Order: sequence, then structure tokens, then C-alpha cells
Amino acid sequence: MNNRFEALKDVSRIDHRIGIKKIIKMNLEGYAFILPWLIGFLAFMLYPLLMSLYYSFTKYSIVGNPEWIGLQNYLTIFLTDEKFWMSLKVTFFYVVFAVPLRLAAALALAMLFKKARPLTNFYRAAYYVPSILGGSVAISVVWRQLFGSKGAFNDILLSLGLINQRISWIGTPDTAIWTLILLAAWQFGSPMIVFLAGLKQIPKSLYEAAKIDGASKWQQFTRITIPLLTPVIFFNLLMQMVRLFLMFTQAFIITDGGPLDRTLVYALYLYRKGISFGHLGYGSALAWIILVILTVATIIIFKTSNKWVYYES
Amino acid sequence: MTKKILVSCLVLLLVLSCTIGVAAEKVTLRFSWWGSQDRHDRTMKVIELFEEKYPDIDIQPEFTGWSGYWDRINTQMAGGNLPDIVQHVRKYISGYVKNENLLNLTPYLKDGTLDTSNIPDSLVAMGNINGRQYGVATGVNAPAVYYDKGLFKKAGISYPSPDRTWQDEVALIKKLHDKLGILGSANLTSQTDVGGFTVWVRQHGGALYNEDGTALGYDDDQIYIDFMEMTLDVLDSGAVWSAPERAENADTGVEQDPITRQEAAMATIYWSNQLGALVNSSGKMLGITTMPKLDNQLAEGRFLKPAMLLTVSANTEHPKEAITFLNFWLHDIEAGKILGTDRGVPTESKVKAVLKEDASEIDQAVFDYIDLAAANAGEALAAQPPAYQEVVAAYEDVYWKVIYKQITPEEGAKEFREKANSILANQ
Amino acid sequence: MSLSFTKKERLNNILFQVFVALFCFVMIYPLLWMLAGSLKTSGNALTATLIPDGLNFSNYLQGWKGFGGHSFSIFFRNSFFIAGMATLGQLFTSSFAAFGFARTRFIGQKVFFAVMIATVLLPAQVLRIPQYIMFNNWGWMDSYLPVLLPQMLPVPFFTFLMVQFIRGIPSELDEAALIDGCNKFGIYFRIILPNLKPVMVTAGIFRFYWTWNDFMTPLLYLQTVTKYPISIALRMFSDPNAITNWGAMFGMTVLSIVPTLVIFIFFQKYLVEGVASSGLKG
Repeated sequence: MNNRFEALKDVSRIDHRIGIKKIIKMNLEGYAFILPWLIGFLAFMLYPLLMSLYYSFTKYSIVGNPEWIGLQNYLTIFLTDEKFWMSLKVTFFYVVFAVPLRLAAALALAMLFKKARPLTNFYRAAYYVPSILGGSVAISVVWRQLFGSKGAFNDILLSLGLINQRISWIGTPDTAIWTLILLAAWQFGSPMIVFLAGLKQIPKSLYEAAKIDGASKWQQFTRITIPLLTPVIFFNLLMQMVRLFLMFTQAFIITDGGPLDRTLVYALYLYRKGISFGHLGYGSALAWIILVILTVATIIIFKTSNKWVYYES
Repeated sequence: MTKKILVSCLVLLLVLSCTIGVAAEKVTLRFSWWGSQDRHDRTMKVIELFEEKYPDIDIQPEFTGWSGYWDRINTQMAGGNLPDIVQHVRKYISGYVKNENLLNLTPYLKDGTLDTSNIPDSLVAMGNINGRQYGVATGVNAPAVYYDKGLFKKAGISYPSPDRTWQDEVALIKKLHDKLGILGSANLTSQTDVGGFTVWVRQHGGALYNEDGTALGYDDDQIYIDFMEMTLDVLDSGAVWSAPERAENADTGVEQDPITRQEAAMATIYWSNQLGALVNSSGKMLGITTMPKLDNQLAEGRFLKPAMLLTVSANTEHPKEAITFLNFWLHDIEAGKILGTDRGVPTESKVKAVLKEDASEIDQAVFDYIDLAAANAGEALAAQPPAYQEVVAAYEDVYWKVIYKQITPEEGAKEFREKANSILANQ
Repeated sequence: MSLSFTKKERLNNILFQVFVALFCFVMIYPLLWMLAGSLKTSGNALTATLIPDGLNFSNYLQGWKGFGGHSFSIFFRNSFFIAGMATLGQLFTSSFAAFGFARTRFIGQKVFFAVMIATVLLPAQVLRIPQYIMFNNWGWMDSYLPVLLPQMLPVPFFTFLMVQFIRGIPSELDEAALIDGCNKFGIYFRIILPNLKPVMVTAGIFRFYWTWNDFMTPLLYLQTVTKYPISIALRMFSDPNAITNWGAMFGMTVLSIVPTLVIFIFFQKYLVEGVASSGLKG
């Protein structure tokens, strides 16, 4: 059971007895397989990527032409841009709570739905609905109906005697971000499906063997399901972290960054600066900063993954 | 032999492509607008009508909803791919003008190619930015205050008059709240637009921006302080939404204003072309009047504005044909009938007269209101500076801080001035 | 013994049904609300009630008409074309690339893998303008190329997803196939692809509805109305500064999620254990 995230070993470490011909053949094969990705990357990503890096060193109004200003954008962002720091803070807070909640909900429901019971086909689809609706108008209106001052959430709390007057959960600075965190947790459909696919891949023989050994359901879950699911958990963790780090639509349609910038997530701030106000250079600098932050976070997750992600093979 | 065939083939190809080129001398104009279903249908009909009358001009419609429209226009501009004719709003136009993305129509206006007969000069001037003509108004709009006549009667209060002052307005909202037990209005002025404050500053004899748009156009911060204190006064009385309620409803739009649910007796400061939407969602006819005046005002602060502008982009290859289309849009009676008042009240007097004849109840009210607003309008607003949106965002930021009681109106006045001036100086 | 076990199972099942059904209501509430809104008379579409004031299908008729003679049949057709092509292309190319990353060895593999992961981290807003300028220079405006090609070639989300699943397939299978004389392509087609069924279904569902919902890309690159997909059409009902026909918009939104739901319901059996192998034996 060796950890094999380092499966991608350098060719130099391949056995010396393998001949040069074989090495060339292996390389050709490898490149043939990643060719579609390589084409896509070179054709559609590389140039825009480099251009946006260049823009980040310019003053570029969307209606004008770029003008080289060196590090000015970065200096302004780090030294004087209060909203930048605010949006970072908001985004970190959001991600720290929203990612675990969403993943926990996704895993719990995937476990519940992995067996075929009457009606589960219908339920699985129904639980997926919020994710399909994504950031549509319906979601924003419904969220207001739930967490607005006239909303159903207040009705429940009032009838339970937990509050004695209506609170606007969306409009109150300290609670607004929590309505978005709840929304993120509620839209757990995508990771749930990835978990379902992952659960399906676990060989049933393992469970049968465990049953014969008298393992309880919980033991089966912690000793078989979780370890064998770690590659998928790892994938979901990384992808949901990135998605929620760059979350835009939900904040845009429900709170638009308010009240008092307490839901001004990073992507929303970037959008405002770069697109709405047309400061493309400044926006590009903001984007490269978040890219660096996310890269560091990703590297950390990858490094720790050696310790807990289990790969077959 | 093969060479011969090849050459003759090439010649044939060349000739063919030439003849095709001649035959297809039809000019194609790309025309971009935003709107909803009703507007798209009307506009497509007008385009059909135009293509019938001008068979050698083809209009390629490129329409979307409001959402995403400016992203698209901005991106197209960055790529040098703007449509020939673009529906614009006056508040966003300065940046495009500054970077010469729009065609200067002044020469065409002077030599009569752009036909402005039967259009009052003041309305032609709506397409004028810094002394040059960059577009034509699709119609006229004015800020408006809507009220529920039934609820006013129930409260025993007479309808708001265009001569009332801000103090009257504040008293009115409070009184409606006291008598009816519902909101007087959702709010006194809008937080998302500098609309209310712009008028207030003008009534004090100033302007929001100085003449060249490089700094704020009023010197006395007391103007701001008074405005915010008035706002706080209404807010604290409970006759309007509290700050959190406003925040949660900040972007919900006209169809969800509490006036449509009989939860407020007035709706302050929408645009005059939104009467239809409000009436439709409330299920009954509403009253419409102007914004308040200032007691002893130094200037008339209220204004008319173009609902939208039709502009021609600077990179068009067919300026003449594009202007032909604008002329048709402005003057053709049939087109005017199809367009109605969807893009504001028409500026051309003949078209307007025809429309007025068989106007619906709602349109009639809008026509009457625009006449009333015109009689009570001051100078046209100067074009907003290119950094307009950023200034508005700064205004909003400070506004929220004041109504959430994070800072006092005095601190707010100072902060807004600093932020706005810094944005305007660096745009 | 076996009798009491089924009793316990039955009790479990009942508890499960009650819990899941209650929660189900919370999950589909927005959809029910939108459905109700689409059946209300036009001025009332935004009210909070779940029970419409009668069954009023005029919103659907009005909505389906579309805009200026371009009905929703056009937009549906375009969306099916775009999302279908993107899904087929993506499934094939990204599983191919994932196999390359997970099961072959070549110089620069680590670097390329890192680059691929890094590209998922980029906010889309930043690439938009340079990409537009690039596609514009290539003369790709108003064609499906800029909308389709980037979604048909491997995107990091799917490639990485498949890498993770391929790593879960025992490599003994590969070795056995190698001994039988398969080359790498043979392994991909005979061993890996059949074992990837659940993840292919997952990826297919995602790709389909992400492309189906994608609004900004087609908005920027498609100019002719007859080429618009449904995601753009849905927003053409709305103009916050004038009138929005909410009823028609909700009606068309409800219709627009039907294909995604149908695909999900149809393909989900590949995501879960079959009935035969679950606990029916007791």
C-alpha cells in the first residue's frame, strides 16, 4: 500500500536495462496520449495566459491601449487597496467553511444514495436540482424568500422562540456571508456525483470479506470506503476549493458584494475592477495574485496528499 | 496541358469571384441592442420594414438581454470588432468617446445627412458630448415618482404635486406610514444611482462634476451632509426600509418594489418608461409625478434624459448607410408606430403626434408626464466622466456606511469627496 | 434470524424514505417555485406562493415564440448541438490525455501535469479579452469554433478527474494485457475505457450541463441570433430598466433544465450499484 501520487516518475529513474529505443517509444506513446491536451493548451491557453501577465504590468483601460507601468498595479494592490484585503479575507472565510460543509453533505448523501432503494432514482435527481439551477434568478429570489427579513427562516426561529424580532440575514453585515456558505453547502450535487462514481469503483469483494470478518458498517466505512475513496476525496477537495475560491455568480446575484463589502468575494472584486470599471491591467494583476495564492494552496494540498491519498497500482 | 487547365480554372475562378463581388454589393450593417422580448419583437419588425424600403442595405441584428450586454460591447471594442450601430446609454458613453471608438456625427449633422428636422434642439443635444454629436436619442425619459392613488385616498392625503419640496416629501412619506401602517415608500432616494443626490446638488446651484469632469462640482460639504441627514431622518422614522432591508432588496428591480404588493404607498425615482412594468406587476394604474423641489432652490435640478442613444462606431465602413438607418428610425411614421414608447417618448414631433392619437392608458400617462417633466426640467445633465461607474460605486460605498451608521454624514461627505476626486483625477 | 433482519431493513427503509422525502422538498423548492411562477398570470410571477392562481399556459406559448420570429426551437437545437459535440469530444480527448498522464511515462510529464493543474486555477475573466482578440484575429467570430473547440479538447477538471480514477484501476490488469501482446493503445481501449464507465458518465453529465448553461462564451463569440444557444435566449427576456416577462422566462427556464434532468435520470444507473448486487439477498 505504497503512496503513489509520485506515480509520475522521471524517465531518468526508469530502469537502466531499458534500451534507448524503448525509451523513445515510451515517450512517443506518452506524447501521443497527451497530444489533445497539449494542442488545447498551446492553442487556447498559452497566449491569453502570457498576455494577461503582460497586461498586469500595464495601465490598460478596456476602451484604450495598454501602457507599461511596471510593478505599479501590484504595489497599489498590496499597499493601498483596502478592498483587495477585504475581499481576500471574505473569500478565505467563505472557503474555510463552505468547502468542508459541501463535501460533507456530498459524501453523506452519496453514501445514502449508493444503494438502489425504491424511488432513489428520483431522489438522486431531485438532490441534484439545486446544482443545475446554479446561479439562476430563481435561486436568488428563493434565497431572499428564505433568508430575507420576511423569510421562512425567520418564521421558523420565531415559532421556536429563538428570536423575538425578524432579522434580515442577507442584509445584516455579520450574517450575510453565512447565507452564501449555506447556499454553497446546499449545491452539493457535483461532488456528490463524483463520490457516487468513486464508490462504484470500490470492489464489492472487499466489503464481502469484511462482513465475513464481522466488521460493522461503521468499520467498513472507515477502513474500506474512506481509504479507497481518498483519490476521489482529494480530487473533490481540490476542485471544490478552487471553484469556491473563484465563486462569482452566487455572490453577484444575491448580495452583489454587500452589505458593507462583507460578501465581496475575490472573483466579484476582480470582475468589478477589471470588467465593470474597465481597468484590465489592474484586473489582470489581481488575477495573477489569486493564481499565485491558489498555486501555493494547491502545492500544499498535493504535498500532504502523499500522507493520506491511497492509490491502487 | 494540365497547366492550361489550371490557368483557365484560375481565370474562371477570378472572374466568378469578381461577378459575385459586384452582384453582392449589398451593404451589411451590424446593429446591437439590449432589451426584453417585447423590444426585440418590435425592433425586428422595424428592421424588416427598413430592409423593404432600402433593399440594398442589410441589417444584421445582434441583440441580447441587459445582462452581459456591456461585457460583450467592451470585449468587441477591445478586439476592434464593434457593430456598426450600437445602442448606448448616455452615462457610459464618455469613455468610448474619449478613446475615439464612436463616430463623430457633427459633420453629418451640419451637412444635413443626419436629418434632425422636427426634433427640438434640446433633444438633439442629448446626443452631444463635449460639443460633438455622437448619437441620437431613441426617446425621452425622466426620473419619476410613482404613487398608489387608492392608498392615498384611503389615507385621506392629496396626491403629490410637482411643486412639493423635499421637506414635504419627507413629511408625506412619514404621514403615509402613520396613517396606513405600511411603508410610505421603499426609500427616499436610490442608493444605487447618484440620481437623487445629483438633483439635490443641482438644486443647490452646483453640479456633481466640474465642467471638465476632473473633480466634484460642488464645494460645500454641507450639501452632502444635509442630504444624508434628511435620508437618516426618514430611515429612523421607520417609514421606509431599514438599511438591512434595503441591502437585501438592492438589486431586485422594479417588479418587486413593495408598491406592487400594496406594501408601500409610493415608489420613488424610477424612470418614466417603467410605468408599464410597475402597473403590470401591481395590477392597477399608478399615479406618476416629478421628484421634489428644494425650498428656495438656486436652480431647477430635475432633468430629462435620453432613454438610450443610437451611436455609430468609428470603425464602420458604411457611415452613410448607418446614418440612413438612424434617419429612418427617427422619422418614419410606421417605424415609430411599431416602436411605440418602449425606448422612451419619441423626439420627432410628427411621430410623437401620431403616437399620441391612439395611445394606451399607460402610454398616455407617460406622454403627459414627459410634458410635465419637460416643463419642470433644468439644464440637460452634462455627460458623465469616463470613470462614472467608479464614482457611483464610491458614492454607494459611503452611502451604505452612513445608513448602517458606521460613519457620520460629516465623515461621509469627506470620504466621498476624497474618493471621488482621486478617481476623477486619475481616470 | 433472516426474518428479523428484513424487519430491520424495512424500518431502515422507512426512516430513509421519510428523511429523504422531507429534505427533497427543500432541495427542489426553487424548481417548484419557478414552475408555479411560470403558470401564474404574468404580473404575479414573482409572488411567494407555490400554488399558482390557476393553470395558465400562456407564458409557455408566449415564451416559446422567442424573439423577433426566432422561436425556442432554434435555441434548443443550437444548445443540443453545442452541448452534444462538447460532451462527445471532451469525453474522448480527456480520457485519452488522462491515460497519458496516469499510465505512460515520458520526459516532462511532471511539468506538464503541474501546468495542467495550474490552468484550472485561472479566473476565466482574465483570459477573456486576450482570447477574444486572438479568436478575432483568426477570423473565428460568429462561428461555433471558439465556443466548441476549447470545450472539446481536454480541460483540466475532467482530465484530472479521470487521472484519479485511472489510478484506482489495478495495474495488474495492464501488465496482464501487456503480456498478451497489447500495446498502450490496446490497454487504453480494452482495459481502461471499459473500467471508466462511472466516471465517463459523471464527466458526461457535467460537460453537458456546464456547456448547456455556459452563457458568457457564446455571448461573446456568436453574433447571429439564429446561432444563439438557450443560455443566451433565457436572458433576453430580462431588462431591469424596462419590462421583464418573468412568467415566460420561468417557463422557458423550466423547459431548459428538462434535458439535463432527463440525461441525469437516464444515465445515473451507471453511477450506482446495480439492484442485483445490493442488499436484496439479506
